[in-house]
Amino acid sequence: MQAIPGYFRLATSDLRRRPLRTALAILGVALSTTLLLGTVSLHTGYVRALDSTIERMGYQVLVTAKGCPYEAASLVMRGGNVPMYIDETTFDTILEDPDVLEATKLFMQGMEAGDANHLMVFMGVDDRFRNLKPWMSLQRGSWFSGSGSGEAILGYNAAATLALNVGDRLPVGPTHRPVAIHGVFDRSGTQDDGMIFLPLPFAQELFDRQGKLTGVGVRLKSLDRVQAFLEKMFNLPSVQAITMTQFRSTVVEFVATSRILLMLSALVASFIGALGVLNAMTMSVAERLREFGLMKAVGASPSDLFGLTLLETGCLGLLGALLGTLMTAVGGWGLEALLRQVVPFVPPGRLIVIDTVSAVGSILAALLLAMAAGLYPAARAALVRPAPILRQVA
Amino acid sequence: MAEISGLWKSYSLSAETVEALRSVDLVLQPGEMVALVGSSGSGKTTLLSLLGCLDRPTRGVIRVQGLEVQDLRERELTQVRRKQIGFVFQDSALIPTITALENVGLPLSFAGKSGSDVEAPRLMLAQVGLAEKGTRYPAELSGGERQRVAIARALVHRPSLLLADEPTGNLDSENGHRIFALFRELVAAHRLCVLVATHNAELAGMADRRVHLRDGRMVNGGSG
Repeated sequence: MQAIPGYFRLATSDLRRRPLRTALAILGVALSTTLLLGTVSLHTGYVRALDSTIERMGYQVLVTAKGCPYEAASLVMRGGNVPMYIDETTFDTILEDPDVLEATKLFMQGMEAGDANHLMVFMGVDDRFRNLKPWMSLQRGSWFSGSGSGEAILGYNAAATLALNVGDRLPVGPTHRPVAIHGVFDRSGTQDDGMIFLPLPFAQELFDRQGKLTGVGVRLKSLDRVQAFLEKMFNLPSVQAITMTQFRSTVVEFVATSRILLMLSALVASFIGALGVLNAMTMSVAERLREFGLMKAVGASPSDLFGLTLLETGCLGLLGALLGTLMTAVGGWGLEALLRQVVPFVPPGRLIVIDTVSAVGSILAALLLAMAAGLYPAARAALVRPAPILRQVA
Repeated sequence: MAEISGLWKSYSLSAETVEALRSVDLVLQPGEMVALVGSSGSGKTTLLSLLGCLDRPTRGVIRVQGLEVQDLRERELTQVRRKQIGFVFQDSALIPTITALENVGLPLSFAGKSGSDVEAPRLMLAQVGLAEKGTRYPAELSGGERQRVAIARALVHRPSLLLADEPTGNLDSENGHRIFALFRELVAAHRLCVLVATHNAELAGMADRRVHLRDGRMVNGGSG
């Protein structure tokens, strides 16, 4: 055992004296750190996941029926029922355009499937789909045979969710027609992992939308021709086009606006956390004025007492910041699940990505704020006058 | 040695001024144990605070080991307390969250000796008869034991002057005698000046001499 207590020992020993008060002060700092780090990390992760999703869409322009192009784009990207359709003949017009390198027909419908009635997204595709997404390789089974009627290929996650394998049968569509699982895609890390792919004509027939498409995904020969291509699409009746870049900018702008609001909340939470530390340390110092007087009597200088109290505050701040970082890392999954429920478009993948700079920055910010809150109690401890205090017998 | 001459201390309480000490003179010699007696409010604690550099006099001179301390800056007063003065209070005033041994080591911690003199607290604790109780926390010790820990803490940095304010006030008669007997041993062993304030006439009789304060004035015994 150390015979001469160091400052750290003196500071931390006092934190154990009132465990509930210490725990509450630490929790206050932890919550504000969680909000701060969560906000910073959410933005980083969200933009990264969005970029990855857009990159893996395989096309730069999405052509849909007239309406809100951003709503249509977000529905296509996350998978769901797009309530408006374009005529399938539009696809031929688009494909004939000299600026188009490749295009694919998209037909999307959401419906319950499987024994547990999971809400699944069905995607009608043809061979061109594979040309735009060459990375979509089959983990097992094979691509549709011939017309492919009555066959389905499952995305990686869809196979896991429905617990189905190649050769199994699945009732699909409003009439619950059984389809045979013909293959399972490898994991792509995109929304495609959760989809059930059907041959396009079969999907259109199944959902009674013959000759209709949800959209057309287009890859251009040159990105310099994007604006010209959009103008040509604008002249087509009943269709509109949006580039993935436009979609990204709008979503990122929305996220940035939300981030400002979240940052303001984080600042308020940090202020409240600092007030918690100020309250805990002010009470602690007030209760120990006699002890500080005694310490002066046995040789402590004002700067010793100032440093000792500030070190105690720093320990509170550091413990809270570390706990907050841990809470962000662990609770990030929960926050992501919540976001997926309430936010219109959330890309797949990790949304809260804690990088070293954000983590260290948040810890330092929490620590500095806590120590700033500790300045007043530290000054009060340092300025204690021992003579009047020691006159009071405990 | 310590010496005070012409010492005055006034306090302002609301509209009136209270003269806690009035022209007090006192000389303490090395190896001498002096009992400071007087009723409550006679100025004993004020005198100890001034001599211990915890407060400043209104007028007069205080010398500790030949150094005039009444006009020193706070930083210099801290140095005097660290090197020359040990305090014992009525209620022992131990820090409850550290062990008895760590309490004894506290003055060395503030003197910046965390890395050296590590055996001094153990030796001091052994000297007051509590070598086996170093790992106990104050709440785990009896009143007499706590006061002996406080005495060990007051002496661990080898001060020249030990000031004790009613050190037996919270103890029974037997423990009170033990504490005074310990003071006598320490005075002999370390050639200390000990100034001990007490109400107890019997214990005061164990000192080399008595100094009597009444209403802030020294009635007798100021010269050694």
